[in-house]
Amino acid sequence: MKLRHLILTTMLIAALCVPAFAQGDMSMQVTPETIKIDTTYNGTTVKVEGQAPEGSQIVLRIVGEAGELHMKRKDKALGLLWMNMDSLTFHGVPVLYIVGSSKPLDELGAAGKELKAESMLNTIEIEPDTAARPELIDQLIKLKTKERLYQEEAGEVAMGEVKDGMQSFMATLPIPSRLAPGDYKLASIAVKDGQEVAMTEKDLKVELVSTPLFMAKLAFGHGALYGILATIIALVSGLVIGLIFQSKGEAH
Amino acid sequence: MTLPLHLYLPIAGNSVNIAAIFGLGGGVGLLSGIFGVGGGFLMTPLLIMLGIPATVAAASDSNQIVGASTSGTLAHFRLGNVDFKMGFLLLIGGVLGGTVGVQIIKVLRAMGNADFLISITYVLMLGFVGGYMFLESLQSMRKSKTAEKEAAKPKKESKYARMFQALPWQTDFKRSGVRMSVIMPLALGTLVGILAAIMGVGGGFIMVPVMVYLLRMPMHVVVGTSLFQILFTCINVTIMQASQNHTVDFVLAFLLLIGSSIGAQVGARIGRKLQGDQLKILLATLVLVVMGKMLYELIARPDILLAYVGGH
Repeated sequence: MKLRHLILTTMLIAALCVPAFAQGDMSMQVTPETIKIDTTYNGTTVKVEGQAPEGSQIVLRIVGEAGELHMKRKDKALGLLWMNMDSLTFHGVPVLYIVGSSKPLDELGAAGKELKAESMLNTIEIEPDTAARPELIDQLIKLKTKERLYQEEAGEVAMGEVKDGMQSFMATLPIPSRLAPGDYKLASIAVKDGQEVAMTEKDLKVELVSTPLFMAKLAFGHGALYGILATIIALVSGLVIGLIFQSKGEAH
Repeated sequence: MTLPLHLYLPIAGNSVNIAAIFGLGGGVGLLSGIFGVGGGFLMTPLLIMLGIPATVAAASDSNQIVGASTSGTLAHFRLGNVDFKMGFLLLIGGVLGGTVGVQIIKVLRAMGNADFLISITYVLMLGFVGGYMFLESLQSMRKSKTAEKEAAKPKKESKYARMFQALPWQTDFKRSGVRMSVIMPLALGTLVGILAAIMGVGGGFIMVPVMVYLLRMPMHVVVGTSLFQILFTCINVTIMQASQNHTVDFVLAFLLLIGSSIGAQVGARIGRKLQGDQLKILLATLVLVVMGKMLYELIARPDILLAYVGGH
């Protein structure tokens, strides 16, 4: 039974869509469970508190929805000039990948390695398939890291007191300002001796509210109207500012 | 209530610092007012640096330019710097050229390596135009140290000048103080439209030198007329991008355009104080700096060897 459990765990991590298992071994509360993006949103934090088996290390992970990315690969043309050359499509790239842990992932053995962005991106598909795949994945991680959408070691998980074989943990994870609405998953994983021993997962919703919601609905639902309105407002603003300047000029 | 320093942009999907965007708009508007160029070459990369996706940066910039060029055109119109007749003819040519240009890109893309050709053409063109303008205005500044204005420099009767006069449908362009066939602005407008479409730029950079050297218009009228034209081009781009690609972030554009409309007004005044040759040499310097930057990007190894599709 134990062995089956272990194999299943490994398989599930590899597949990267791990449904909550061993719920009983671990618990967590997330605040807030829904992130609301209003007009003044400029990044936020999510607070995670929970209980894990005693003696384990904790890794918290937020993963965004997987999507498609159309990219160009930069390469040397005529051996001299860096240009955008081959077109590539990446399938199954999560929009966000944020990891915080009680110990650096590198010190968490095989399980820690599995939780790094490289391992996660091993499942993505690159079209057309190329021998340069590892290098491309590496570049993709670099790009996403620069955009702050992928962050390893994003926050430290603090371990609390031990009670009845369970240890409490607490962390505050950063959520970047560059954030798209959608469904995100927050998982907390307990690792012991390089192996995952327990995990639990919760949904984290990100939604637009107030003005951003209204603007997004207009822009995506009524594109032409939105474009015309944007143009008219720009024209009127230009004219009004022109007139203000004129009246100033006449005053002299 | 205190003013929030950051605003979340729903289309760009990121938040920005209001003051930074406002300042960026002002700076680019200033250049636009002085030189009659759109400023996309500066604005788009700076917006990308602030974390705006490339496609959204380029499209919202067009929206912003509508405001700046309305304001700039108005300022120049009051100063008597807009040649509407010339502007309309160039515009008609530009629309025709743009349509042809889009088809040419399709053919080039199908042949492969289009991006390479485009970049090389762009750099060469900027280098040539910038270099020529720089040297020419330097020379004429030296020659006419005493002359206050860029009073018509009588050029030798070249083949070009004879052709200029031999074409049918000669007409007067009062604002510009030139007489030529309507074919000239139409044909040159088409040419610029083709180039602008191929290179994916607004065309101000190419249009300004074309008006100065090939249409022989005075520099101040060139700036006003160029702004007038850019206005129409960018209205078109804004509506197209918003309806087809949903990449116009109006909140971003609005912040930018408040800054840039004010900048354009100030720019038009500054431009008025400068002489034609001084304007030309400054613009030439700007063109050469842009070329230098593009050349550097082509030669230096980029940090990241992947780029999103859809930017400039």
